[in-house]
Amino acid sequence: MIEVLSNGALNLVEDCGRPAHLGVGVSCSGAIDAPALRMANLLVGNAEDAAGIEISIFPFRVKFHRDTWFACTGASTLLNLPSRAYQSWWAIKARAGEILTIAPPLHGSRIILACQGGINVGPVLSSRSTDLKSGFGGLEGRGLRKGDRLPVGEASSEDMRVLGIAPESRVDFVTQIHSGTVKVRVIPAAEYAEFTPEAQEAFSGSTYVVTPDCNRQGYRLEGEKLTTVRPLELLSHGIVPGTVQVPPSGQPIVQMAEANTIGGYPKIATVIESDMWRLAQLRAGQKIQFVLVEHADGVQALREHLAEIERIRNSLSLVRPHA
Amino acid sequence: MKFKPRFHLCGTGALLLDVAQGAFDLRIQQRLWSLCAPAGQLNAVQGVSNVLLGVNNVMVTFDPFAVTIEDLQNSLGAAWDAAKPDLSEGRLVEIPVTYDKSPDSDLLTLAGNADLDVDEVIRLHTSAELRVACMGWVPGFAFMVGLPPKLVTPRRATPRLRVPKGSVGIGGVQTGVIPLEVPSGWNLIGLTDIELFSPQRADPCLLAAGDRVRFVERGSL
Repeated sequence: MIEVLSNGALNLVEDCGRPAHLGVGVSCSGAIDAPALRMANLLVGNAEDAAGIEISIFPFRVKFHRDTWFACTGASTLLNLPSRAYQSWWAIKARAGEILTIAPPLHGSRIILACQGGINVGPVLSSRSTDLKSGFGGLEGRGLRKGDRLPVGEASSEDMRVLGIAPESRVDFVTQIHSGTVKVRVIPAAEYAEFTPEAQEAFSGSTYVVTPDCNRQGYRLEGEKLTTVRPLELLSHGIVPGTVQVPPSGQPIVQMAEANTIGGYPKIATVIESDMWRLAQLRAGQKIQFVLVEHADGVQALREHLAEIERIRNSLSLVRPHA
Repeated sequence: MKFKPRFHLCGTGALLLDVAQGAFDLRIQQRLWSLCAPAGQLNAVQGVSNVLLGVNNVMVTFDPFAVTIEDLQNSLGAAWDAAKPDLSEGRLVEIPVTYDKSPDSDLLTLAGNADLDVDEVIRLHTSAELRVACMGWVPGFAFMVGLPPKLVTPRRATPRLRVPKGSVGIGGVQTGVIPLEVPSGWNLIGLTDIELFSPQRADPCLLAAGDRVRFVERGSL
């Protein structure tokens, strides 16, 4: 069991979500930086889809009530235990009674905390993810509060040691943050051709700023106004996380993990699956540039993204053959 | 109804099949109902993971490593061509509504704009033959069709930041129940205490595509 010592309405129990219930209006939900959850679980020897804690409000403090292996991934930050400090992307053992303090990130905006055994709250609609909008899943369908006690599953293996990983994609992301603009690849969507040539040019030729109105449902962006050649009246249709909608204001909104399942605004593009975590790690005020790619490029990017996780899985199994 | 669907990519792993021919057409939706049924053809298409029915369209999610876009479009196109309309009468679900007749209510404004008295609006709303075209937007929400033309009312210019769970409203040609507290631009005409979505139930949604819905007046606010 672990005990939460800080209030954070946006600190949530999340796993890989509930994609099988899209048809009845239930958002996929799940960790907004899904590969960070998978890699955190790999570090502590869990199944990749075990539930962890997605932390967006810092500092975050948690007390371990028994010896627990844990890992933090996602954003880069300092992890303070009594008399020792570590960084993100390490698997570490906390002793019973110790308090972990997770500092505000240096880069990125969200940390995933995975504990060996996984956060073992009861699943709802076959997932432990918190659906904040609808108020179910996770812990009572809400953000974590001081005093919350979260059950942790049984540890699967004793064959653990302190070790860290440095995914290349994350190093690349930090380089892009330093450059001032993060590139996000998109595939043109249904109404792309309905936008004016000026709008198409502006969409991929200029940068868009993440506004403070950015959450698990969607990110509102601000930049050059995007207009369609004529007003469009669309019948309601399914949308996925990554959909870039353009409401009448002309300022794009990117749908995120807790997106509504159906929408009606014109869609200019869709962020490719393997770049969604980059958006998830941005902060208000940071800039993105959309890069148009073909479907085949998006699939290739997904293949490389999965291969990176596969390499990490393989190298961990070398040093921890029985985990 | 022989026409080719339009296909639109939604990122790497989703595809929208759009068969709308202008305004909403119930006959198209009836074919989609049979196509999207749990035992329908879409769920059997190779590579398809999930099916999300819209209004005269359907989106599928798929594994891009298991099927190519070309093969998927061919399979979906063939399934659409073969789809027979689901002409079943549909299950009837009655939804009790307490209509809001208070002086500053949207119901009174709506009645005024439609040049009807409040009781006439309620009579039209409770006598409407509504069908659930599809489910979605938020959990348990049903997109209903069949609102009497006199009740068609544009959404409010400024959406409300929160409307109460169970609000019964009208937005454009749509009417329905808002299953949880969300922002909405709909004109609110009443409230129901019926649970449209309960994640603990074996079948979490009260309504399903193809259902018939009738609103029934239960007192007034």
